[in-house]
Amino acid sequence: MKKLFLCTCNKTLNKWLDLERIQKEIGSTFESVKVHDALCLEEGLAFLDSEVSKDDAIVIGACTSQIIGVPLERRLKTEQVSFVPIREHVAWVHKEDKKSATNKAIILLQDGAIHVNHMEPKTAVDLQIEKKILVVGGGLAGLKVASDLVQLGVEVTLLEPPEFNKDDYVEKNQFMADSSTLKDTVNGLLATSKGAKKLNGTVTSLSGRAGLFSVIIKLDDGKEMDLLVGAIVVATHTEQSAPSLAKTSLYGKSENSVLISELATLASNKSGKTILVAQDPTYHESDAEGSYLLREVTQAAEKGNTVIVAHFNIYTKDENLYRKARESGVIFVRGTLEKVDKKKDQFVCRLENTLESQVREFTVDYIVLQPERKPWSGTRKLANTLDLNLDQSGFIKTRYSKMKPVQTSKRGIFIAGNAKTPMNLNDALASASNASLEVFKNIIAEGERKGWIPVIDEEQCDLCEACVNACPNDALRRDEDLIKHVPMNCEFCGICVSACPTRAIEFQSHKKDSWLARIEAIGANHKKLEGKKPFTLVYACSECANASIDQAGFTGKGYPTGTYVLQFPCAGMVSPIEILKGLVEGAEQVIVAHCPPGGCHHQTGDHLSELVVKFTQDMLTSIGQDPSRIKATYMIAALPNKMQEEVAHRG
Amino acid sequence: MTKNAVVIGAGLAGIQVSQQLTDLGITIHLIEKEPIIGGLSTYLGRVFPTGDCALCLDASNEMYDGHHRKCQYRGLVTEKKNLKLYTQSEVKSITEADSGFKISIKSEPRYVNLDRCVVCLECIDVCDVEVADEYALRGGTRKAIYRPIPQGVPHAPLIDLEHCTKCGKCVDVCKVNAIDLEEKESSKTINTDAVIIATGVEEKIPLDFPGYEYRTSDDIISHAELARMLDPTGDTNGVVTTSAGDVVSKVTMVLCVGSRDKTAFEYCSQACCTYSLKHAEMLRELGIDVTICYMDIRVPNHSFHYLESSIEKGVKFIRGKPDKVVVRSGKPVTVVEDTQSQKLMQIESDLVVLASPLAPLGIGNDPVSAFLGEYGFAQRVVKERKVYACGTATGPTDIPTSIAEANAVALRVYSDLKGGI
Ligand SMILES: Cc1cc2nc3c(=O)[nH]c(=O)nc-3n(C[C@H](O)[C@H](O)[C@H](O)COP(=O)(O)OP(=O)(O)OC[C@H]3O[C@@H](n4cnc5c(N)ncnc54)[C@H](O)[C@@H]3O)c2cc1C
Ligand code: SF4
Ligand code: SF4
Ligand code: SF4
Ligand code: SF4
Repeated sequence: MKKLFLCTCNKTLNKWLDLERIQKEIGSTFESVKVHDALCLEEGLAFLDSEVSKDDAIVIGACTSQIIGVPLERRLKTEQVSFVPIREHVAWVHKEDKKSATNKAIILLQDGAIHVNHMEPKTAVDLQIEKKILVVGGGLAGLKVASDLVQLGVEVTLLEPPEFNKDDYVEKNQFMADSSTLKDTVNGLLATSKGAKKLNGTVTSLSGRAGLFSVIIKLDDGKEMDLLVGAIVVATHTEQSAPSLAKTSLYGKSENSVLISELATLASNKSGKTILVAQDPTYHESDAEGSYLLREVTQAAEKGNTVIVAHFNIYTKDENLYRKARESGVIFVRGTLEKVDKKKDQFVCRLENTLESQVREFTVDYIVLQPERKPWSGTRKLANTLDLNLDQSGFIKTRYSKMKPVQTSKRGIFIAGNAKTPMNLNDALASASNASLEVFKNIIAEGERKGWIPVIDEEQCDLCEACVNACPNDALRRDEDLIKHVPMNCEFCGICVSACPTRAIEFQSHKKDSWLARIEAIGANHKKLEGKKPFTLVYACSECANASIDQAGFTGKGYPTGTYVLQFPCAGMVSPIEILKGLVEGAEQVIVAHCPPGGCHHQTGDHLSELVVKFTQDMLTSIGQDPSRIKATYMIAALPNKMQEEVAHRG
Repeated sequence: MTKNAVVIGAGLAGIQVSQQLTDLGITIHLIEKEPIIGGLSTYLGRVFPTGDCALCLDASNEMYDGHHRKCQYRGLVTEKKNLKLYTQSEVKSITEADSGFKISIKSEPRYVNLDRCVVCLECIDVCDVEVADEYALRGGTRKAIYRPIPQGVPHAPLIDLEHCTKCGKCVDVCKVNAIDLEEKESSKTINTDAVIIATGVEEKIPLDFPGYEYRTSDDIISHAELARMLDPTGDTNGVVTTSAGDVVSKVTMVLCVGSRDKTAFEYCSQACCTYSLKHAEMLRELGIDVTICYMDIRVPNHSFHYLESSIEKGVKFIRGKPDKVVVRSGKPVTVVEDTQSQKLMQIESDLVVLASPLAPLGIGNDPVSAFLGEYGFAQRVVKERKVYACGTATGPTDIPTSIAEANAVALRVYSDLKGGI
């Protein structure tokens, strides 16, 4: 049975909505209409318990699904529920116009009624996971992940890249911490990670899905092995390379021009020398490298040398290193090494200040350069094999830099430590344990994961693979003459649907027919109730954009009535068809609202929806229509004024 | 037996560690002294490195499949089965017991029952008492029954009894009987296996740093105050104004005020360079002129794009730490020697924003301060298998680093308490 439940929210919503008229006008759409004063409280939930049975389809007209949906999901016996946020999206934003607000509520509740008609039970995902882990990279972070997981009873294979050399690891990674701390930590981890199986080789191919990856490894002795693992952690190291200053400073030409890693040897043999240490202004150093520089110059000065640091920005998390350097007599000079002339055994160095043409000259015995820290040289190849994205500096890119520091663009593959960016010891250890945690959570995950998934119509599918390429999560694959869906990788975003040119993909509960029917009904009902008044359709993603619209309600940032929000799983699911359909049905404006740039919860929807709107605008232009009737924009909860700004009617 | 842990402080780090541990099957008691969770993030609006909301959380396995981050208002913290949140609560004592601790906490009354309130906001509407809003900078007010910020969690309002006249109007309109003006403070003792300190930092109010006339002028402000003005839901609706109410056209920012300073806070506060750049960029987008006076610009790689785009958008940089900011004919003037040109400059602007140090909140708070070390910050593992710390409680830093550390500590606590699969 189709039932409607309305909530008055402590008898307040009737101030802005004519609940009686709503019941009267919408009564015939539902088998029953019940009103409650507090659906979200225990008594309300108990009421729903008694009123709703397993086979009912229900519409809840109350507060946002983001609030009431949470307790309801646990209590309701049916999965066929459509939420209509008559509080945040209607009453609280249209306080000035009760009649139109009531009309809007009626229109949205009718939309809810159509929405539930198309709803299907969610599909359960096979969560089978191989409880074995592959860690690539045998440095500090790799050892830490192995150590964490071995101690938790997980089977770990630790793969060291062929060129990786354990013996000089500590020496080559002194930028992470002072050498004795680093050495002790590495030795400690070598002991605690003993239970991990260690291999030397290269990953040559990856197949399978998150939780069940099949990895082919070419071992150093030329043999190949096939490994089945549940998750992969990439913990590769960094390499240093000469900075762009190298040429100016005669690096490679004179043996007295060296990199900072050689300063310690240099200073231990000699004292009473003058040493110029130069930073490269074109290179953005990390705090780890800044701290390293400070540690090294302090030591050199303490050995009785005169140390001048030509710098423009020193980044350290330990201010005391800076202080100690000054106290040990290091001279800090702001400026860039512009020119070096050899004069007998010495160098005449010209330092220039970038802003003012101020020049200083120093005559020194040695020039020491701060090198650049680059990702391990095999990173690009490994990323290609594993299908991971790289950032501008060639490090492996995280999925979302604020909150998901170890997740990559690919489910089931994580990064740790210096694979992400040069890190100090402390941060690298945290990063590694962070990756261990994510892996471990996957391994012990219980319960079920459910969602509406894409369903592919084999007859209609042209095998163009547009969906395979569009899916941000590698959840669609070509398998001979079929496109197959991999539910474990899927995030239920629907991006594949908008990519398919033959519309061979249907998304459960969000079928094409359902969108078209809903848009049509909104247009028709609007005309019926509001006549010629212009209306706007907002196709909002159910993540940030919907949150922004909810918050517009909470903050009372009102906007014109006749604005109807349709929630899409992701804005990337919206195709030109829904946009044009909106215009056909009479909408004055269609707005596609997505997450902030680069912030799509499904990775690419913000960008895709911008492209789709641009494309549709071009189409409109070419047929002589006004392209400004449609637009794409981002909305977030921290900007609850976005609806107000975007939904302004003309005339 | 199910293990449990007490987390002190519900900032982003405390929330994150609690979420992770509940997902791993450990029961968490999360104790927060404020009426809403989020800590510093409740002031910030939008944050680097992603430019989206400060009040965003990582999803958990129990709710939303651990898939995506979610806004705080979506119930992630309040609806989890094994996560018990105590707001307006402080730890009174921590005593070692058999294998763990006995922790006694005291909770102030909210006067609004969280299990009864439907957040209709009617009570706020009918309340006649208006007082200055702690979250407002330019004279904004709130009622005696109020919600600190719109996205605040728990959603239910609270009553500031100091200003409440007990007129009973709110009680009358609250037909669900959520309001109890006679609610009393309560105490509770929790037996726990481990304690996690996530008491975070505060932005030090720059009252006592000589030379910066924060005390005398309301046009010399801190970054948290600027963040409130930039917030479209704040009392200025996102417009940056002077204390006289004029729209600002020129802003000077001073970095390292009180930080990296032997006479004040010795350490570098880590996050201020980057949030100064973030704010500079936001101000430029409003067409406001921005000059930043700095010693070093310390920006982590994940936020390097803020430096690039600040330069691109025309933010001016002066290398030098201002000796003082004075007020001349009502306007703040920053006196600074540009160490590059060695010229003494006097920059007049409408507003000066000081990057004040991030100072530990745990300090001075008795049971907690016993676990703190140098400068009032704690180690990640304070006491093997018993006391841990994460987030800015271990040192000033930004959100990504706090979150990463919270995750790392969660794993550590889990393996210490549970041992393995
Ligand atoms: C103006 C400003 C702008 C910023 N901008 C950014 C940005 O854009 N991006 C970014 O990454 N970072 C930014 N930061 C830094 C960021 O705010 C912090 O890194 C982060 O919020 C720290 O989170 P936390 O959980 O460690 O601490 P907090 O947020 O400080 O949380 C600590 C919590 O513990 C509670 N508490 C303290 N003591 C007790 C006690 N005894 N009992 C009970 N509860 C207690 C507090 O009330 C608080 O809720 C900014 C900081 C400031 C000041
Ligand atoms: S595009 Fe989205 S819905 Fe489609 S298969 Fe990929 S993850 Fe799933
Ligand atoms: S709207 Fe903001 S808080 Fe909500 S999910 Fe998006 S970024 Fe996070
Ligand atoms: S306390 Fe009562 S009146 Fe106030 S918001 Fe909650 S339910 Fe509404
Ligand atoms: S982060 Fe920047 S502004 Fe803050 S104390 Fe450090 S150097 Fe100074």
